[in-house]
Amino acid sequence: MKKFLVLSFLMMNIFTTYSQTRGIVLGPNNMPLNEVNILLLDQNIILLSNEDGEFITELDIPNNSYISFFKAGYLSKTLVHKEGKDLKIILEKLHVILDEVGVSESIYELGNSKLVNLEKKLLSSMKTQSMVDDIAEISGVDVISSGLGIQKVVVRGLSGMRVVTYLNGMQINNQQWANDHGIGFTDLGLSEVELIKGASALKYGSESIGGLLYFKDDPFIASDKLKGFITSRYNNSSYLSSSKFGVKWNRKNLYFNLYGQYSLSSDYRLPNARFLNNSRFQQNAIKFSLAYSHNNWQNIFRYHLHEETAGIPGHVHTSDLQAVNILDITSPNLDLLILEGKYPNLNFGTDFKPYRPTQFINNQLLIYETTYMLNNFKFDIYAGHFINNLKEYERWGKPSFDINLSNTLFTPNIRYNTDFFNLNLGAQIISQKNINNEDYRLVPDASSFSFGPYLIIDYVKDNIGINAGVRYDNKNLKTNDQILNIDYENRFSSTSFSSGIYYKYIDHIFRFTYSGAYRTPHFSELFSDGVHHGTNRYEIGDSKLNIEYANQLDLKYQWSNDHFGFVLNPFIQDISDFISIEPTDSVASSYKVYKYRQYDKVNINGLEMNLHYHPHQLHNLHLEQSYSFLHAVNKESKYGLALVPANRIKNKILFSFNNYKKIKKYKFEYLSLSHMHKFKQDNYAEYEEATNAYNIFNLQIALKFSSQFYFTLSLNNLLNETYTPHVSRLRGVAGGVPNPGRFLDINLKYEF
Amino acid sequence: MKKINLLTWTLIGSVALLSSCSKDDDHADHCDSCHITIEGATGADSLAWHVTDANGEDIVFCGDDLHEAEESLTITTALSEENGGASLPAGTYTHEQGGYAIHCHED
Repeated sequence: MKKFLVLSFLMMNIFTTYSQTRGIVLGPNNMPLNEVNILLLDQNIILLSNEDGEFITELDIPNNSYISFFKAGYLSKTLVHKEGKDLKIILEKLHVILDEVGVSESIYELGNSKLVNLEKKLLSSMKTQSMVDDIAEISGVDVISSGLGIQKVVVRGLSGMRVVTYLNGMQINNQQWANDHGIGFTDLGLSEVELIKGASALKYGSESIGGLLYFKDDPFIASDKLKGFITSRYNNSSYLSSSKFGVKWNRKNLYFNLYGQYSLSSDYRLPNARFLNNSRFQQNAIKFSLAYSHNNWQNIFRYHLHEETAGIPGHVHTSDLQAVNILDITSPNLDLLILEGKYPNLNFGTDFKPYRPTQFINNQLLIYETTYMLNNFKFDIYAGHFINNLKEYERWGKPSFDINLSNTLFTPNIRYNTDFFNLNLGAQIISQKNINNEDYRLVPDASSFSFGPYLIIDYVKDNIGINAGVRYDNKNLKTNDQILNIDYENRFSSTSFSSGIYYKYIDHIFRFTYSGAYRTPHFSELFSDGVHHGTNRYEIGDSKLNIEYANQLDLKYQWSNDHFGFVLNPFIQDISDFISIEPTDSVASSYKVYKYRQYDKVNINGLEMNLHYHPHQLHNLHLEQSYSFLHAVNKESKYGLALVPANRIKNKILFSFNNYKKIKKYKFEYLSLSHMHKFKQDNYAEYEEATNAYNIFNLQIALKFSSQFYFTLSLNNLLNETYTPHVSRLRGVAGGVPNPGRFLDINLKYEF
Repeated sequence: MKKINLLTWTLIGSVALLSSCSKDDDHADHCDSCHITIEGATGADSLAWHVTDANGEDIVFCGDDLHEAEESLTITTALSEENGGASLPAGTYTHEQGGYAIHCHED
């Protein structure tokens, strides 16, 4: 090891010579392309081409590193950089330029999108209400929520511990076992999210049997100019006000990004104009990233502080949640105009102030990663530390629980790549500690240590490719809690695998994946014992729970031409020893008692489908339709699984004013109308009930005042539909507390 | 140099923004009424009594009194159950003792 370090250090110095990389990006007919984004994927640095299509950087782009080229209206291209070879790239113009960027198969953080069924979504706070709503645009993805304050992602009917979240390479553990514990960060400074549905994300953990979300920061920028933005948002449902800023700076080999956010929201308004008590929240965050690149070596340090105060709405002290009168948990207090007809009933002194019960969340993330590239090798060492403090107050004087959960991740990885072949060998080492700061505790003090080596191989040549990977995890879970009198130690180990085939025939692409993963029981499932105010339950764990196993078959077929695109994605997932919670006949501390247990066999199968159409006669029109169908069967019970979203169809019509000078002079950019039909959900868990079908329409208009100043105005829930999604946190309270009624959302963004 | 200054001020501003938003005590001046709950005799439901004065009006507690009320309450007259159940006799009730729980916020 010592020899290796000395050798690495010497290598770094040998290659410390001044160098410059230049290249040119051309369009059709060899016309130079201006402002093409050139993303150095391995360094996470972006630069732009100039008016002559050229780009020059003093960055020494390492041999065999990946570079991606993209520009609006052109088909993106990813290539492997070869030292000494001219960087001359020709981008193909899209027949229809309405899509922001034509995305071809590429190398993503989670793998090669040719070989793995992974989705990538650019995050845009201008277009949707929240980051989680943005992700839910993807087929097969839904949201568990109670307003905008508490939101979490459901992938193909699975959520909580089964959907693992990564932020810039760090696993986010924020007590996500409970539905009232949200995702733990906002879209501040993030540019995109990658998603693998089901159990095939080997590199980032075997436990993501529902799916894996990987959020990525905006890349660093190689530019002499300081770049940045300011955004502001307002809505008239909860009087949400949110402001963000971001700046990017670069001098020689040093790169710096800084972001900040402050958001404040009161209770949201229901379709009947009453407000849902205590659905208010506050969020503020600051984050920065610092990178230093020198020759083939790069170091990145990141810090992120996120503070959140989230009210827990729908809280009652009764075991019969359905019998609750909705008038008792809502009020007309915030309504300025409709009920009172006069100003001002809104009291800024109290209406935005935390009430009870409330969660106070403090998340801090520290990351250090170092990368060294040499010939065909890339050596990565990643170290991350995430600290989550969650205080849940049901009373004014002292918290119901106050828990520190810290998570330390260390990942060494070696990548070897050639033009056709890619190998990743590495390990994830994770240490986790859960410490209670109060004597009253729902979950005990606990710790775990896991070690998971993996090997993943990709091979792609011409129109065919294969992918295979294997991972072995060993996790030691320990609990020694004197107060709860628990002394437990257990070792869980198992193997995960993923294999896939890719085949392209003319415009037809076939992708088939077979994968298997497992999840160890969480200490909340093993040892919970007490009232959980966030879920209105008394929860009891079972220390005999064991590993749950999942196997998934996933087939994806894609076909597209200039005007029409079609994606069909059926899948089957079998989960054995499925851990779930179910109600009992008992009541404790005024709440119904729920106990964790395991079901022998659960089967989830479904179909996702996407259609895009741009009529040739009207290129400015974009029609989009997506289908998400899911069927979950619990073979051990006549009931279904909890929190399985209803089937849905989404439609979107977008009209761009790009070629209409008369309209364009008024700065109009586009107009879009979206519609979602949710089917009736009559496949539900024992403690749930059926949910009716509903339709939601949203309208959005975008204006572009200048090349730097953007504006969007959205009218959400246009028809003021009264609906409660089946996966709403408040579906079981008072017959279902509805989602927000019709409201306006205004967004402004200025870039410099 | 101008840009570095801008960056420095942005950093200072954001730290100030965050520190100004942090709160050590979110409820020092808060006032609220309280109610007492207990599991029903069958164990399948629960009973709730709002803490009221002799006129049936909710008693409002503030600051330290509110914290104390959450721990223990002494009532001098019997309280009516909100759904017409049995009255709660006068006496002292302590949170999480004898099956009783005291809550000082609206449902």
